[in-house]
Amino acid sequence: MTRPTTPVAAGLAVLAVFLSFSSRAADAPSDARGALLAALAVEAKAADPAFSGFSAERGAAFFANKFATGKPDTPSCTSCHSTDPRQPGQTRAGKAIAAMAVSVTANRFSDPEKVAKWFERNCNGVIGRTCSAGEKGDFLTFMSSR
Amino acid sequence: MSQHGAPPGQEAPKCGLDSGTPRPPPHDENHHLIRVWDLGLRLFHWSLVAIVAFMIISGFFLYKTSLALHAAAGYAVMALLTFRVVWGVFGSEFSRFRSFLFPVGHSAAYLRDLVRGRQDHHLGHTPLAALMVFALLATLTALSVSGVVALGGEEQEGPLGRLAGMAAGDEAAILHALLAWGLVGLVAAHLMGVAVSSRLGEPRLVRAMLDGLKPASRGAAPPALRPGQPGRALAALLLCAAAVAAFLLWSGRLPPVPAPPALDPSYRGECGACHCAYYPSLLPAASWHTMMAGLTDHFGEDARLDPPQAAAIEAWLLAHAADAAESGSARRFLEVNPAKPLQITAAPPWLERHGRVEAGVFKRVKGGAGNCTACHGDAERGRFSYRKIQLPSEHAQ
Repeated sequence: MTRPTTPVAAGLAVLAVFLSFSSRAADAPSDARGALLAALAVEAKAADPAFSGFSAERGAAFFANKFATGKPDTPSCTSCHSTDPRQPGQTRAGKAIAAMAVSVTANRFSDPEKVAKWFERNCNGVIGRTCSAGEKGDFLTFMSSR
Repeated sequence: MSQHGAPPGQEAPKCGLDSGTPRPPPHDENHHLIRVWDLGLRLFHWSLVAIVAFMIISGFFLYKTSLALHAAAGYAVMALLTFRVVWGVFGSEFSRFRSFLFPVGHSAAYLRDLVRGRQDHHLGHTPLAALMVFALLATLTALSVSGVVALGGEEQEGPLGRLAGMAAGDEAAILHALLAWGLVGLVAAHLMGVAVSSRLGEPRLVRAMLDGLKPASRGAAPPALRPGQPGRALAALLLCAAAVAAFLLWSGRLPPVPAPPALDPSYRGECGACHCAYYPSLLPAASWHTMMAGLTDHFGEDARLDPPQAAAIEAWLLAHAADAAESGSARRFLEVNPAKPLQITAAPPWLERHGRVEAGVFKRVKGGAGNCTACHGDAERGRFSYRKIQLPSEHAQ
């Protein structure tokens, strides 16, 4: 009965390699988010010495706030992203937007370039100015907590 | 020509000369029934009636869903037309084209009488009916040709799927639609003609197309009626079938028509993130240039891009804009709405093509009329074929 053990062992080995890779892959977005938040914290501290950490509550309020300073069609983050971060959003042109909550969309905020691009566009569109590091960090903290 | 009635200018006795006088019943002593329409002609006529009825219904009302059926019925029409042409040469007397190719003078005299409410009796087609036959056959032939070119050019399907270009397909589709209205008019005129002719006393007009029999006067010398030549007709039809088969074998080996260029991945990724990635041929280069220069206020949103990336996307858009399109249909999109030169759905060519879509459809579409892919499964491949149109159902929200 030695013959079957070889394929079984090989299968287990393949499975182990696969699991180790997939667990590494699952960790990668959260590592990237951690790095992004750390960088934002440094930036926030530099802008405001009294900075004492990001807040999910402030992020939630920022997300739901109706600004009157940006473009009229998009007064709020929720104009496109749905009021519930766990729900998918929809662009004005009808394209689905994956849910912002990290618990639903695991790879959210793991690509720093993409995060920078959309904060720049959407802060400009919704608020009419760029967002501060504090606002971005609060937002990311809120979405990571949901 | 004795069976066609009196030649013009000759005051020969005519049946039904006086309007309102009922014709003699067909089975009196002076008349006997003879076979005017042979079986082949009658089968042809009623098959054509059934198929043309289906073509008109599917063409005008179900064209988005039933293109395959419409095309299949179209091939049947072509087969029937081929038979009719062959039977016009080898059929029995009154099926032959030569029996109803009237001299102009004869037709004119017939028409003069008809205007006065009198109808000169013809065993076979009257001159006016002959005109109708030729008009119907010509229109159906033109419809068949334009249909096959449109199917080939616009859908890359059918016998010309690998031969007809998109531009030819577009032109043929327009012609096909015009001819279809012409056909509807001819069918209406044909039915009216039958009604009027029957009112004027032409006996057994409709029944003759069922049993082939019409009353002929006994007194007149029986005309020499040529019989049909089914053997020769069959040989001619087989020859036609062989020619079609040879053509299909040859065209099937041609390379497929190349698809429109695929979307640039960067364009598709960036622009397609928020909206359907509009195929670049939907706007002229000038519009794309203006659009790419104003991305910070793009239809009410900030859609700014890295300058190098924006430049690369713009270069690709300009290279594939409506200005560069080969097909006539795409070149129509050079025309924009001067007040809204960036908005595809405000452009006259877009409005022309969507005028028949109910407003309710666009309300059901997420994002509205600008969401091409909601209905056009092939919009991002630059095709927009009828085949791929699927309107959102009223229940799916």
